[in-house]
Amino acid sequence: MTTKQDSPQSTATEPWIVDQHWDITYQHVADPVAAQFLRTMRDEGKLTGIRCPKCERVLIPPRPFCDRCFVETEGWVDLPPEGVIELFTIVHLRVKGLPDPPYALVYVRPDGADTAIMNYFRGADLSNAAEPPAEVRIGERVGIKFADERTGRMTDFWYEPLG
Amino acid sequence: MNSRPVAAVGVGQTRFTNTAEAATYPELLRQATQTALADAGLGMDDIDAVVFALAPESLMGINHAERWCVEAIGAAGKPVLRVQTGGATGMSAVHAGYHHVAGGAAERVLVVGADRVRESGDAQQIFNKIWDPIYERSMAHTTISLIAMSASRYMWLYNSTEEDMARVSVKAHKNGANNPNAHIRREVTIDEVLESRYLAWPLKLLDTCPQSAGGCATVLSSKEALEPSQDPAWISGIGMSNDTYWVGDRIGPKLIYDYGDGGALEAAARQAYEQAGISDPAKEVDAVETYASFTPVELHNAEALGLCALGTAGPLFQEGFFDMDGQIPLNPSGGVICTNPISVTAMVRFVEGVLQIRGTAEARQVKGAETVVTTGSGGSHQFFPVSVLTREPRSAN
Repeated sequence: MTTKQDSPQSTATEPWIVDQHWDITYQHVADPVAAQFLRTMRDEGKLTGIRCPKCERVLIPPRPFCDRCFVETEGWVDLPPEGVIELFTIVHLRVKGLPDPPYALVYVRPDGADTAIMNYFRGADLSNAAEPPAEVRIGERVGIKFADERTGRMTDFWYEPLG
Repeated sequence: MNSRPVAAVGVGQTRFTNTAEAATYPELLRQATQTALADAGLGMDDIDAVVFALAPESLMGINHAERWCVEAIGAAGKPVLRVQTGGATGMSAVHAGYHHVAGGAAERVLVVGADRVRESGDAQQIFNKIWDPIYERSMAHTTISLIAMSASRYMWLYNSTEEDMARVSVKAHKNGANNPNAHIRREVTIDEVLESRYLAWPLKLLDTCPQSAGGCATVLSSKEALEPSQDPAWISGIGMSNDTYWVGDRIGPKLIYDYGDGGALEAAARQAYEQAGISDPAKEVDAVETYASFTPVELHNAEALGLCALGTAGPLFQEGFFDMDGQIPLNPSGGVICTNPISVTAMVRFVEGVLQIRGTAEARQVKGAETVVTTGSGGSHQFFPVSVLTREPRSAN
């Protein structure tokens, strides 16, 4: 903790400011379903969904229970490396601690899944802020690409133009 | 629902400003509290319980701050409850106060909160920490990209345009210039909005709320505890609904509510309208204060609240339907686009509704307003509390 304006020159009308800094470390534990999803992604280079036995939705990202039916999910489903864009934005705002813009964030529904999962879209020209590229639009089909060296984090995969 | 009628009998707002210009956090709470009590003609001894509205405290930087602020909200020696539903906090806190009075646990409840959103200057970095740490935190996602995705979805669903969004901003700034408490008080042109820089396509700077500081409070009372000097605004209906955390579940053939629409808000409004005996909101509602921290949200909120059909809000904004002199003035205060002190932003909607009902909203008054709808929105565009205020008590309870 340091104090800034506490010198004798400080006047009654100036704000008296005290700087503070939070530096906090966490170790988040993945639930067993998420851990299995990430392990499969890392070891086999593919995405998987998990099925709700009641409403039969195939959920991605996979979760231990279906929030609609409130029953435990069971039964893994292999998903192909293709899907469709359901939500997107191109980020131009610079935020401290986050990657440099521009970048495209999209939710893709992989073929065979009922829900969509967010990741970066790579390989598109994002230089025109006023006009998203034609490949990054709702309804566009995309490829799901995996890093050669995978670490079991979500950044092991991303979306790209198909073909 | 078996409950007693509840009225708002006191309101208080500080002026909303940049954080650097605002009083300290406890002082904002105290000022809002004293203003609301004075407005109600009451003292702290007349209050049975206090509901404290505080959204994520990491914005203003004091953890567990209800502990720190008990004295500033006059709650020493009384039951106190903190409420947190993100941006919806201020309205959820009103609902908690309402239930205390409606259920007979209290005669008078103070609901109060404050915020200093730019205490750190790293608000969007803080909002990056609201996502699932395993599946979503690896992406540079923020509340701005969250709403940008809803906006682009709405455009895709209804062939809506960036001009539609820009007109919301023009209207908001025009109204905000009439509000002495608003943080941003300057009019903007549609060209200024369209030429402002992109934050996350299609959202631009002038489609976006500011980071505000200030306090807000209201005193809720039972009918039995009303004082002759008070001018009550009746809470004739409340509703609350929410959507799943998982935004990726809000698309596809098995969705419940499309992420481009405000489906959970619609469900909440339906509950509130039913209690208030409103069957055709487009005809029966005189004014609306709805929580829309970005312009496209106001488009789908107007539709979700039943003021117009799905996909028609854009053209109606162009016609002036939601202007001060239009059929249903939307956010006469200038709304969240002009003022966003997150913890109390939704309570400001409610308090502005009370002023409309009393007819004391001055330059932003909607003439003869007798039924006003007020809403909150928080979480991953997820939590939606709604309150209907009326001149006369007409709860269908």
